[in-house]
Amino acid sequence: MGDYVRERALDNKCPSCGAPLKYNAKTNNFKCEYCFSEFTLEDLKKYNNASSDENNKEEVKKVEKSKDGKTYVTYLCKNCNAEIIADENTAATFCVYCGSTAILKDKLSGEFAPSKIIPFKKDKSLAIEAFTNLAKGRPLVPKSFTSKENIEKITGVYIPFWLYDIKVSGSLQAKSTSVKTWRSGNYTYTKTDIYAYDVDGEMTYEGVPVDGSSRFENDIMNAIEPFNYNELEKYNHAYLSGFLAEKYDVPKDEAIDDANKRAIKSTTDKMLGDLPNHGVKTVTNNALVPSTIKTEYALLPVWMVNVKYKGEYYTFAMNGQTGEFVGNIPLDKGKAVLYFILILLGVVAVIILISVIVYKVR
Amino acid sequence: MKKIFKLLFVTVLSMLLLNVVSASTKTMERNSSNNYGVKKDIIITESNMNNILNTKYVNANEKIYDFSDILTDSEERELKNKIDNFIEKTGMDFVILTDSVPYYNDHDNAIYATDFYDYNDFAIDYKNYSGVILFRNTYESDPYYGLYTTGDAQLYISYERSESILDDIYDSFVSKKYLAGMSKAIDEVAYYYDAGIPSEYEEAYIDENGNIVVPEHYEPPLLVAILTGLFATGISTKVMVSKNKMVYKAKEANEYLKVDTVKYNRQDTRLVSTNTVSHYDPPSSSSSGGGGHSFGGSSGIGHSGGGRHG
Repeated sequence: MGDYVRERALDNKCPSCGAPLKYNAKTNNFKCEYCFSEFTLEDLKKYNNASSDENNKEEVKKVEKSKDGKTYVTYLCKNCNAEIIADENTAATFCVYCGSTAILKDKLSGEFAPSKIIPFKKDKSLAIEAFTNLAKGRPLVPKSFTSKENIEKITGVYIPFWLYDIKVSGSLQAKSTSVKTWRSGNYTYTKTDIYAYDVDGEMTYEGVPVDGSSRFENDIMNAIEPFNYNELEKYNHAYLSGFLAEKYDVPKDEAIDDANKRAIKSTTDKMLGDLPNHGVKTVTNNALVPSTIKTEYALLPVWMVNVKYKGEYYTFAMNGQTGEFVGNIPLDKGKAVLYFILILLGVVAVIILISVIVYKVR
Repeated sequence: MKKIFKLLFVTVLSMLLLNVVSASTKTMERNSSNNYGVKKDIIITESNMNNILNTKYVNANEKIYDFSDILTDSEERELKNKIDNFIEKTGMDFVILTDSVPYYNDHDNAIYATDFYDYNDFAIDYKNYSGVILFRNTYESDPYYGLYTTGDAQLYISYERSESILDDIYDSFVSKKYLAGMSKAIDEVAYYYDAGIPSEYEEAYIDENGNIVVPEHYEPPLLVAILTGLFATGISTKVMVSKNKMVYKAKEANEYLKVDTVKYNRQDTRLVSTNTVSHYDPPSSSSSGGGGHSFGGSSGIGHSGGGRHG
């Protein structure tokens, strides 16, 4: 471990008593848990803390060091001077000693400065409730899966997303076969019609989201869509109070491929769907071209929990704005075998019982 | 003098024997005073009265009734001997009937033969009136022959056995070698009697109406139950497993489409080709199923059997 310069991480202190402030998703305010003062974002901007305009503009120097092949950055907690170690993509974290929010400003400025943010609208209790309810209606969920130990791991994270406005234009050719059969007298008639389609047009998509962090599975991030962009706010560090945050590590030029594919697929379906229906259409030539109109870098709220089960990690996520909860739950194989046997025996028993009743009645 | 007596004795004996064994075509009158010749436990109704009156009333001891006159006297004697042996051995009757009767369908032959059996005194002292009647219809435009069973004879002569006998005597009947054919029929019925009741009728019995009753045994439909169970379990498990999978890859961006930006410069639909073909497909006709092996005669007594054209 070599020498390094210690920089102070920003926190969000209560202007009244100096205790850490946390963002309250329910009230959309910042509340001090010690003196119970409440502040709006505009109130806080008057003070020189994480929410201030000054701190939202300036970049703080950092020192990096390599450890175990990974790059770590060390900061000093503004509250207790303890070391806060974060990896290179962490943008907001907590001081493990005093629990203060540590916003690593250098990860959220310059090229990494988000332009928009959707603040958390669903608080942790709703995420816990959703996770607890996982077992309801799902008989094959392992018993220990929704244990208190796992529930306590639920963490609010701002995930970096690229939001693309994409215009898709061009032409599309397709064909379809329509087969009709009817009967007249002693003859069966079969009419086969082949249709050709040619369509040319354009349409625009707004805010197609692509997860900008390689640390999170794209499929999970896809599954918690959509976010309501009407609630997008101008980015401010203060919203990160009480949450973890990531910076992007997938550049926008790389992430756009997924957005383009989705936009082209939807355009193809829309164009084919708007044509007369003469059977299932098969695309013979697709000359649709996407073009990016605008790209925004936004932090979107997600409640996350990683659960270890039989040596494997399972990630669950809840959209912090809409409450959509997703994740692949492992199967309790013992339960699966038990249900298999019980259902099989049950069905066999019912059929035998019915056959006995029918035999007796006859 | 002795020679004359001897000659007379032989002549009289021969005449007596001829009278006893030769096929009789003598019929008696059916009227109310003799209960229309029906001595069996048969209820005479308006519906079967015509059948009774149209059935020839004969002496049931003779067993061979050659109204078509297709058997010689010696053939009849030979057959009568066989029948007597058969009756003695089996405790069941055996009747040979030949006649020329116009008919519309095979069932008419069966009714004619079994009416003859039922409304005469055949097997009247035997259990279930058990016996067999071999009928040769010499109707010129469509000759026919059939073998019909009554009572316990139905259990011994199953459908397969009946078909086998009919097949075996076919050539003889078509070639009018009636002695050979009829002898074979008697022999084969006797053979099957010796073989015993076939396994399919092992637990069967003849009910009060003369019908075969095969008791049904409950057999649990295990294979069906297990297959259905496996299918249902497979579907249930798939549903349960799918409930644990909530993550999917988004392939579309429909939610983000600005509907007011959709603009089409061209939307052409063209019918490239059309082709109509037809094929002859008449409605399938349902088969009558051949009429089955067992049937009820006009008397209400159950019978089994079948026949052949030829």
